[in-house]
Amino acid sequence: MIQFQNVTFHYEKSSTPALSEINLEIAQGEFIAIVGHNGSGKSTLAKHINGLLLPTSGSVIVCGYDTKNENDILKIRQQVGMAFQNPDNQLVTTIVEEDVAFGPENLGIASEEIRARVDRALSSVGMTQYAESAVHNLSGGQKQRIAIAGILALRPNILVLDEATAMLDPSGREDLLRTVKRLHDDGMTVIMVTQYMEETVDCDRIVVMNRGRIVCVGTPSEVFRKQDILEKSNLVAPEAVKVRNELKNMGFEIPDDVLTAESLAEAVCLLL
Amino acid sequence: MRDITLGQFVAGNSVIHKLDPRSKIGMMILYIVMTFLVKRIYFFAIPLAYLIIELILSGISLRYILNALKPIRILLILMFVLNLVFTKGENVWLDLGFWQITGEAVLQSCFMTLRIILLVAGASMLTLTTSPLALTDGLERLLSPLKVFRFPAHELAMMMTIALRFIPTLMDESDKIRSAQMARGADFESGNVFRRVKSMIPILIPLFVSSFRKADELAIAMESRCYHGGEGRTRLHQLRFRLPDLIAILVTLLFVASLIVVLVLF
Repeated sequence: MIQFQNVTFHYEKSSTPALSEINLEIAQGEFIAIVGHNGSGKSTLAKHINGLLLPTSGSVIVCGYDTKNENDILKIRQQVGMAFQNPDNQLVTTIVEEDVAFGPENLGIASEEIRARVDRALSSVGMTQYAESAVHNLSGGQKQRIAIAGILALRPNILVLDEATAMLDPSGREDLLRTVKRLHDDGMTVIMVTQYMEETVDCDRIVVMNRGRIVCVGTPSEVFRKQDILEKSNLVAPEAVKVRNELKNMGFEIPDDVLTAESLAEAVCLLL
Repeated sequence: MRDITLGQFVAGNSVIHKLDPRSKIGMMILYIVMTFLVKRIYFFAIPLAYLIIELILSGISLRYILNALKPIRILLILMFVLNLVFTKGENVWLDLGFWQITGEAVLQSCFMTLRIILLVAGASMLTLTTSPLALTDGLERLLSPLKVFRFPAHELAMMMTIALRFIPTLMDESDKIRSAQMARGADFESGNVFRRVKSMIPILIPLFVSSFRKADELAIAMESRCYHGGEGRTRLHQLRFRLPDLIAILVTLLFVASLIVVLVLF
């Protein structure tokens, strides 16, 4: 569904490439996490998916369209919804429902159809009762859910979250992750860019980035085992995984798919 | 101040509230024309009657109109006094030796003051019954024929929409910056006017910088949501010109016509 073919990208006036020789294929319905510390190129990678940035060399193919082809860019952006870090800076209008309608309005859809899409999108993020509120009266987590609703109204197949949880408080973050997970269960391809390893435990695959390169791709349990690579990339595995690894080093038998505090507790109970 | 995005707007469900913003803008223009057509003070009865009818239909309390007049009370007084002093006339009412108050001057003063009051009251009827968002929509539609002359009607409306959206956000931001600068020892309260204005600079510069960053991020988010200018855009809330709009416009035209008839006859 998404193919990165030997993608290299230079920001203007920068000598080192922000992305170099990226090859990555993402299939329909996958839940992918792209992790890396600041400046690793993870957001740059995400911005290539809907053609906000175009590769200096190589190409990005999304749903069969090359992002370099200007005529297809609207089709790509309709397929790829993107949510950003600051919830305040991605809402365009004052009233919630009008903001959700912004995307479909751009596509020139008839107003009855827009109405239906807005209602549907708001209900799927659980914000129906706020349809006529002013966005500045909402909390950060609620704003971010409205942003997601605005994206859903475009009926995309792929949802890209570019550090969308970074500015939220713990409850807002949990809310958002739950919403995203539900969307994934309904068949959405989700690509989540984040620095928080805790958020990645439910993913199908984790892509670890460092200095513009993909250093490791694998399932969460595979990736968390590679301590040395994580350390080199300035990343830390989730607390539970660290405890698990320590316990294993001490000779206890704990399965590799233990990634969360709950499953760790269960595994420990079994040992007792 | 927080609800500045709603401006003066008083939410309601009246006939006037439900009119298409385009017709309301048109009605206001006709009303302004009426107040300027009036040549003698008692002809103001016609626009005044129009205003009162609109006020009753809209269910807006007179208090809001008076509130709208409050900021210009100095101007009104000044206007009255200046006209009183500088209008020449024969019919002396009061002779102070160096200054005569004439009947004509009193009449002229009342005439000018009344005209301003009626103008402001009429204009605020529009903003009281129409939300800024609806107003922006209406303006975009009314100005869109000018696109032929490359007038950026859509861009203008989009800018107004975004400005309204970001006013509360920027206010929050300026509060935060203010607190941050105060924590660093900035003093915003003491000193004379110039000093205090100058002390705003440490608030304004970070606010400016952050606005640019916000604009940049917003532009990216808008592009991601398929924004590509006003061409081929549809709207969630379609503006509809309905029967009440037609009636309202016809009634307004009737008032204008009757005023013209009165002006011609007397």
